[in-house]
Amino acid sequence: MHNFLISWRIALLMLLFLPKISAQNFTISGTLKDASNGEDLIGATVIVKEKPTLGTSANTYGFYSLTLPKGSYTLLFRYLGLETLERKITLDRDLRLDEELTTDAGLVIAEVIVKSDKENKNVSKNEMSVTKLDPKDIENIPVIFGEKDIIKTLQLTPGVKSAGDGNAGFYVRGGAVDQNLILLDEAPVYNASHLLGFFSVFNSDALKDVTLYKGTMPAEFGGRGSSVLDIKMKDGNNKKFNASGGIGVISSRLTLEGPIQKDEGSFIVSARRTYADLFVKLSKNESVRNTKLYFYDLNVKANYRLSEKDRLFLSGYFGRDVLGLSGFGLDWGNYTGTLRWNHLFSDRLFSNTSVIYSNYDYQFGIGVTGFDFKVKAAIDDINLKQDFTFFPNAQNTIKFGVNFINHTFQPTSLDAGESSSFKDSKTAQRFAYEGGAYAQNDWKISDRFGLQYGVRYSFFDYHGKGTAYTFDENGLKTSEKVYKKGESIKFYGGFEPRLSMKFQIDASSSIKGGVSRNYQFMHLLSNSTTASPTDLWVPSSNNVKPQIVDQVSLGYFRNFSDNMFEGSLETYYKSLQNQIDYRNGADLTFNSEYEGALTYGKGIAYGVEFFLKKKKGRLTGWVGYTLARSLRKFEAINKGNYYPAKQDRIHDLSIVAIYKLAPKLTVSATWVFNTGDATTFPSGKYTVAGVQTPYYTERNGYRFPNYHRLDLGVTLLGKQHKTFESSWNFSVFNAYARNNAYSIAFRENEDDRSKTEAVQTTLFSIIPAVTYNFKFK
Amino acid sequence: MKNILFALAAIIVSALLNCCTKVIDINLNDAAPKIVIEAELVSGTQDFTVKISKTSDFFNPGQPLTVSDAVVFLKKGAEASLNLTNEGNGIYALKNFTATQNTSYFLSVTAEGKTYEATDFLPKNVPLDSLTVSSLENNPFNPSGADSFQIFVNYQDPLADLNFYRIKSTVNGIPRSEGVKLLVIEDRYSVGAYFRLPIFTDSYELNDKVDVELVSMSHAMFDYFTTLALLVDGSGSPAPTNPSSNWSGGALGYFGAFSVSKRSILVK
Repeated sequence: MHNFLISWRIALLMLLFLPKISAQNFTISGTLKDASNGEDLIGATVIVKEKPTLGTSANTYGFYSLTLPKGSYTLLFRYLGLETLERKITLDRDLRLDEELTTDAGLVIAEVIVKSDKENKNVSKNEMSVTKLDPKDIENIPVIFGEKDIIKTLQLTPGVKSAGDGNAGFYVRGGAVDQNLILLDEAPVYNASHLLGFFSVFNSDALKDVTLYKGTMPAEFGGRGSSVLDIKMKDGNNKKFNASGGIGVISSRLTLEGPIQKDEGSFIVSARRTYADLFVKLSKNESVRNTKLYFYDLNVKANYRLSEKDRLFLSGYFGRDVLGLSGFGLDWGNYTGTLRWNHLFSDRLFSNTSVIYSNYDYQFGIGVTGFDFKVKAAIDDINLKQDFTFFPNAQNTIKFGVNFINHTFQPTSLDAGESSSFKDSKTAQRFAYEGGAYAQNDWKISDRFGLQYGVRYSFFDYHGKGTAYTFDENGLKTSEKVYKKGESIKFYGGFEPRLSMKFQIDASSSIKGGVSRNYQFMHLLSNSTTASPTDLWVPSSNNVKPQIVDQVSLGYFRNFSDNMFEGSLETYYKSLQNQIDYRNGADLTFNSEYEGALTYGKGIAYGVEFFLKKKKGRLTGWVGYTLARSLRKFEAINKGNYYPAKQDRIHDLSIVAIYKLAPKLTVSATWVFNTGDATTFPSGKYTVAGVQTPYYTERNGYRFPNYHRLDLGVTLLGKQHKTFESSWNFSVFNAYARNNAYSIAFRENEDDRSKTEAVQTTLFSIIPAVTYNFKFK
Repeated sequence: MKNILFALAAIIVSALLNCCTKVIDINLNDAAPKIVIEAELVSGTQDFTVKISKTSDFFNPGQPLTVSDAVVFLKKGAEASLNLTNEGNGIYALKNFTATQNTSYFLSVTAEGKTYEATDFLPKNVPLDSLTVSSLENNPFNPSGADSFQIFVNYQDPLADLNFYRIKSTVNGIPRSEGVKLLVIEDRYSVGAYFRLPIFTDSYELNDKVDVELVSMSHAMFDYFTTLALLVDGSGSPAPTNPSSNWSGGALGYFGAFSVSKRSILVK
């Protein structure tokens, strides 16, 4: 708590040391919206035409504030895909200027994949290692079953790697799947996968903005080691009501949005459901008919402007997967809710207060006589967050704030059925507080130099009511102690410096660097090779230390041919402390003493990322290539030597091409190639207990075969009516039917039982899909 | 229309399930052969044997390698050590040895200039009360057919201490599934309960004569068999390693001291 106060003082000091503002300065502020639907324009830029180095950009809620000396100016309001707005102003008092930008008739949005409001923003912004996606711009990229999916699309960019077929998890710069903080309207989403990982939980129809920070992340974010995926839901159209949707092979979507009161408030409701199980009902076989297999998503959001200075937002996400075969059932889901209040304390101090709820739970049951039971686990968060944005002048933007989370963990617990031999095993809940305070300044020092510097203090308090255990070096319990409600069992805290800097060589090239530290207090324990809904989130404790990830990165950014091509070359080096792995034969299920099954080590990850994108013309797309390593070192594993992590993929190449054949016809293709995952294969065998047993010599000493795949897509726009538009989307996943390895197992050869053979399982061969999309407006 | 729907459903289901499997070639490293020592001491009076062998090539094992020049001795509690005789072919034996429950045993093997040692505790016997048969319906582990049966193993778990078990079965005198499906159980969640456990790794047919052994074992042996089961049940562990052996010196295999309770039943 002491450190917490220190960091607040640092934040206040930062405010005091700001350049003095003379009495002759005035502030122009307001909100920027899209004229067609009233959506806030996140990151839209405001530039002084007479002196282009002066300017600012709108925050997450479309609010901007610019303080300039008294005088006359021409302001340019810019947002990609919208027409630049020019306003002449005479600044002799503080001004409020809310603007709406209209669609540029000469620009077709779909041609541009990754958006930037200023054409050379990637070169000129202080931050680096950031990937932005506009959900409406990914429509043409082919994906499995034709379900457009932001997470699958992000995996086509350098530094972001898929966790494999049938897996919505992803790795960022050699980090583990649990090191990604996934936020949906500020609420953490603990399991972002549907249908055992074939889809992500994010319904693109309901999303407005997707930003992935894979390097130095802004100080406002904390709690995960590798990345932040910050997803913002649409606010809903506040001009007029409209309905849109899509009908696909395995799911359908419907979105309704409209004003609550024109220009003052709006709502959006977006739903999606799969219907594979409805076909199953047609089967003649009873056990097939009783199979349950579906998921649904519901995104809802409403906002209302209470006054010129106050705005209220309420958003929620509800999603659930249900899987049932006879005698066996598994279901899981996330619930999140966010209530936000924007308030302007002055035209230069913007405040947002959030109350956030997030819950993830899963349960599975087996209903066989004598063996019936139900297993449940859950994690539940209540989060209070206060953020300020302060716009002292045209060179600086300061952000500071605090947040406090109350975590409740319900580790796997077992409800035995009446006929069962099992007894109930109610694993005790675990409790923790997590919090942070941060301050950060984005400083345009000169035309050439820029600096984003900040610090975050994060803490975690693992507390009672509960029992803390200690273990010896073999993982055997040595003692236990009972703690009272609220009594601290273990407190962790630390400072996380965040620094990014930019040196602009010329209008089309720059060099950027970053340094950061991140603490991670929550960890995902998995018993399986792929991410599974039954993976267990656990808190740091007296045994489990927080993961600490330090990263340095350096990049060269260069645009060519009048910003038609955007290129970058980034390198990074990461050091990972307190990484977690399992002791041999670890059993994590229903185990209140699971910490005894864990072992701790460290890791390093480093790599080079190359990215070249074509932004304009009939052909658009990009090439991304990553050369990287990710290694781990544990005392108890591999004789204490470094070994490759599963995600150590060395070469990773993605090519995305979108070609506009005709005004209404777009074709696209993506091709991916990566080195096979590191895996452990046996180096010999022997017979013990009557069983042929493999003999292992090293962890992850082998590789899966290389992975490569081609996906194709065609988008055909229907006739545009005044109130109705439609499109057809055809896609082919894995077009040349490459048999990529999902798993490799060993079995006895049927002809000669003394011999063993390796069997490779492929999850997806060629899969065609078609989706029909419509919109009533 | 209905046909189209069925075709769609078929595409979906086949896509969601495993698409295809094929046998592939993998080059594995040649590892130097490693010593494997397997020793099972069972309560009561019988011959105690120790098998010493070596690991072989994974894909083409050829003839098993045995270690025939080892020196092996057993110690019961604090008593004097007893030497095992070399029977050839890597087998070492102690004839008509009486192993008692609630006793600790120590086994030492010296081979090729290295000494390997292990200790195990022979636990008190837990009697197998009875076996019962029920027909298999709606069993997710065995959806094969309605004509198969399941056998339940019924016994009273002792209230004191944690107990660890392995259930072994033979059908008409033949070991089931050649031991591939290891069934190991602990009572951590059911201390003192009356167990009615289905042998869910297996199913049986009409007129099968089934012999079932309820083997009580130490925590160390439970760990060994659990980690062994992870390797051999085909499900694939995320990070497979050799089973947690109780041998010092890095030998593979185990030295286990067990007490066994047996029952038989005819499936009808």
